[in-house]
Amino acid sequence: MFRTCRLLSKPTIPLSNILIRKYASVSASPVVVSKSQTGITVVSVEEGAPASSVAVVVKAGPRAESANSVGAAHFLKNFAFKETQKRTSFRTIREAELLGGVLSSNLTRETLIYSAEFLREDLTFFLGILSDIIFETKYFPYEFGDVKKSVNFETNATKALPEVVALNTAHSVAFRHGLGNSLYADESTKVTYIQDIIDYAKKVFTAPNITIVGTSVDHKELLGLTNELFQNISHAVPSTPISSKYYGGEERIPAKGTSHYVLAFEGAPANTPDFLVLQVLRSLLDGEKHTQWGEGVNILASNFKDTKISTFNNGYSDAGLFGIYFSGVATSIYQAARTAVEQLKHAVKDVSEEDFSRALAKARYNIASAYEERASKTEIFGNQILSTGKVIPASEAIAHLDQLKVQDLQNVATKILQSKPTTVALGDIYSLPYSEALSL
Amino acid sequence: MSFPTLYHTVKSNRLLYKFVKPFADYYANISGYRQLGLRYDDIIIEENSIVEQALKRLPPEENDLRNIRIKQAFQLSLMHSILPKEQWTKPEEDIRHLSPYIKKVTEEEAEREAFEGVKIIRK
Repeated sequence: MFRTCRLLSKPTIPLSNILIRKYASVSASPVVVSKSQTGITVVSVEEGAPASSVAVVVKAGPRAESANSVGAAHFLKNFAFKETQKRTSFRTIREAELLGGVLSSNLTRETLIYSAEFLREDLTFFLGILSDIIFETKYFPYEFGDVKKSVNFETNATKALPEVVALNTAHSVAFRHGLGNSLYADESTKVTYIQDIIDYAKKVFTAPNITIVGTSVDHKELLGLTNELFQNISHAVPSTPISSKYYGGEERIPAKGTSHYVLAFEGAPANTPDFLVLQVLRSLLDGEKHTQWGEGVNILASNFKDTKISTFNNGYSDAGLFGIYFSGVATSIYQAARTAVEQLKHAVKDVSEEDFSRALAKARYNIASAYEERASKTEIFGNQILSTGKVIPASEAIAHLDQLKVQDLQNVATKILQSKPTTVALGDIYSLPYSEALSL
Repeated sequence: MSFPTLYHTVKSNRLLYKFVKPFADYYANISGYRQLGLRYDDIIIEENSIVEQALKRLPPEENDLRNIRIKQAFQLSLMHSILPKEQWTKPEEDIRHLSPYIKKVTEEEAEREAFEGVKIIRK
């Protein structure tokens, strides 16, 4: 119905306007990085927007957990915005609401991100709230019950999402510990009492572990406030986590309903040239359709209508996971996975210039759009500072991408095919392929 | 859980405190809960939302001890007897274990009320 309407309606923009190619103004928003007196790195991007955001990025993801603090990161995340010396949890929420701000805490495999989005003039208040989480949270024992409830709820809710389960399992198969630690505190969590969370918080909240990222904020003001609000931060040097090692392997989980399959290889750490090449490879294999009702361009997208195929390229500070995710009917997944492997091998041997430049354009767009969105930008800058100590702006990453040759792609594809594949089969495990069956 | 009190006035005036304290101690002793092995905080009326919330926050081990004391007192009351004198609650054992939580919850309630700018009163 809607479709017909759209097709019949006359274009309101004159065609000539569409045909003239306009260049987007790439006045690169200046990224300023400086080290505050407290030892915390402060990054800010001035975009001149009326809505600002500030985030405290802490290297406290499940990666930082040790054998006796499994699951602590998830608990710590949910302990954000609880009662502090200055405000009750209720007051924090109400005051933020009155100022029209949004507070959130997010967990990634390596970082814990406390973020606030607000109107430009309220920076002092919101950075204050974020610093209170670190210094002033009271960790009342009776709050533990509430936090545990919300942790259990989130864990159980994600257990019902096959995509999350499959990718989480793929990480644990690929890396075992460290990056393989589950994002969610499941039954194997070692957190049983409030003290476990306090110990974990004490361990991770140190100056070298923290980066503050602001968007559309005045850098000087942000720096000044950081010096003032974070002056009591501990300067203990955190123990460096054991470097990630890729293992690979196979995991098969029976489940009802639609089948899901992950085929992954050892990728490259974020912020390395190989990572960018993998972004191109990802776009080359990508089985997603990018126009509504359209046909996909490559074989994976156009030949398997009843299977959802998407590629992922996860880069971490010292390792990465590159792979393809399938969901649909088990037998079609079998075919699709075989084709995907063929495509990957094809990428090693001969890729046409046309396919390559198409993939390059898509990769360029993916990178540019990742830098565009506030939340993902914050995460990118935070991770870059915490792992390499400097910020790589979008223009630089894209410029690097433009220099890539087909040869680079072939080299990297050869390299990842040499790693032992990680496969996760979830669903009808009788029909889903074993990794040997994929003729890798 | 708030009621008019002269506690702070008495506490801050040393002379008044010295004068009133013996009577207070005497009153606490004759009110009878100590003879049943209870603490003052065990006989605070529980049937309201604030104390209920405060009881939920009590650490589990404190709560267990509290339940044991109340059960014992209930049994004694049924038997129309009191504990032998050496088992009475001593003044130094009469700790206000629940009051801080009640105070906290009361403050939180007051804060909540304060934030509710408009209060609709039905007639």
